[in-house]
Amino acid sequence: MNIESGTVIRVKRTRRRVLRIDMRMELGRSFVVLIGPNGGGKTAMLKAVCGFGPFEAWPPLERPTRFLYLDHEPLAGIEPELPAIDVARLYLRESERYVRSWLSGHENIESTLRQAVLGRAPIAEISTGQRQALMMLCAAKLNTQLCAFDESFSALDPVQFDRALRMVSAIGASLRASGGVVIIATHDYEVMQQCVAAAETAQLPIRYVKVKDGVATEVATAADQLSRDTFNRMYR
Amino acid sequence: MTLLSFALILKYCLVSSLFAVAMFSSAQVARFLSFAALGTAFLAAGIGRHHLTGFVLVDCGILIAVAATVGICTSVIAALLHGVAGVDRVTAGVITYFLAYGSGLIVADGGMARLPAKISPPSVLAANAIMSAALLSCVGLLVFYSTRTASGLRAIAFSKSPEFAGRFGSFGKVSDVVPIYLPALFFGEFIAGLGGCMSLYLEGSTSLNYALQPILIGVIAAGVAQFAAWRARIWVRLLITLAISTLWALIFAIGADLQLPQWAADMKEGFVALALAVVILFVQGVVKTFQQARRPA
Repeated sequence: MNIESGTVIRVKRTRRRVLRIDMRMELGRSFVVLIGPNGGGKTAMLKAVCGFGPFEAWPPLERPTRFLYLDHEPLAGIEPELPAIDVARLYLRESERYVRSWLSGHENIESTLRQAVLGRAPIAEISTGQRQALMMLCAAKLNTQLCAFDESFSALDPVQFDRALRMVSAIGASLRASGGVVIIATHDYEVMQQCVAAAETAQLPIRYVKVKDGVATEVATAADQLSRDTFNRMYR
Repeated sequence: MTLLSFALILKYCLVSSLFAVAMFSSAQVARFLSFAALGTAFLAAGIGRHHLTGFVLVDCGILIAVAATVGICTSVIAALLHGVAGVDRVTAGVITYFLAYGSGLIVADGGMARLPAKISPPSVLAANAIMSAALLSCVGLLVFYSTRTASGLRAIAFSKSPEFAGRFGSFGKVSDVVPIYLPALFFGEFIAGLGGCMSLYLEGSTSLNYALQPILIGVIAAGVAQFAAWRARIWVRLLITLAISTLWALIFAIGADLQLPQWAADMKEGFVALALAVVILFVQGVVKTFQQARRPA
């Protein structure tokens, strides 16, 4: 999966936003961090890479057939009264019995969330952080080509965040084997550093991409090249 | 109070309650009132049947079968409107209801026209119409709220969640391929077609007035869908839908005998129901526009 240098992605809905990518991204066996101010185009880029409409891209992007996209407010479009276990069951395409036994024995799920899910609580009764944790858990189980995390850790508590990092590492290792890519967008330097550490554990090459004013540019390829000052300067 | 007037009162209670549902409901209230409406409608229909000694069982069966089929279709339309066109759930539900209500009236009134006048008081058959309309709503609700399979359908059809896109693989592509006006056109054509077929069925021939009905119904229905799909260039889409509906309906007018029979007053409630939908959605649209205009950039 590649994005050619000079790719232009036009966001149809507003007809004004245009994202230009000034680099060549070979999206395979890599861990890409998107950094940039609000409204810069990070989400637009993530969605375009996943093949979401309404976008127009030239040259056309090769759309992944199996991908995962988690934003900061997961399951927002799902019917709120759908039981969370049904969400997981549909998401994993497994039977409820299987999901129950899987969740019962899983160490990376917090007990309150486990009880809520096994008790068929509707997703409306599950907090944003718990939804993020649940979707991360499910995501770690999937075999995808592309994992896109758009501020997906913003509502996690420290314990859940540690668990999420372990899952990022597991996802990274799996994608390294299959030639896939992990892309994260975040505004938090600490979160970025910890995600990068997880990616290093998974032995994935890391690339830092600044997305600002609709232009995506690669800024670094190593963690030591991106100090906090450099990170902060990207927002100015 | 005669049974007939009681049935009338029930009917208007039902209509006004569902109108209230359409305007103010949350999902739970809508469900509760829809089932309450179903019960009321069955009651009204039972009263109606009391008068309908000549209403044969086969006709009832056909009516219910048609109602169930249309109910499923309308539910699918609602799912498409919500899942693909991005219309919010309540609005999609309102459209489904009024579609069901209007078409139910037309179907049932079609049945009335087949019966001898002495045993088919319009109000009684209108009660049957409400029964079928409520049945349509009920089928939709059952499909989307009751069964296990429905959970899956809902998650897919009603999901705008990108989490599921990679799993079901159609999020972006569907929205690319199916423009927002297609459901609207389908909606308008469906109603127009239903009206046209009914006019053919009732009269055995086409006439200008019956050709006008599908035009009006089609335009109103398309208007509903267009207002529901409240996006940019709405008037352009409305005009396109209007033109296509008009063209379609004019086909029915070809070969018409140009006589001017009485307006099918029996169908007026269907028009009213759809017109109400237009008003509701227009108000919603205006309110939404003002909200957007007042929102800080």
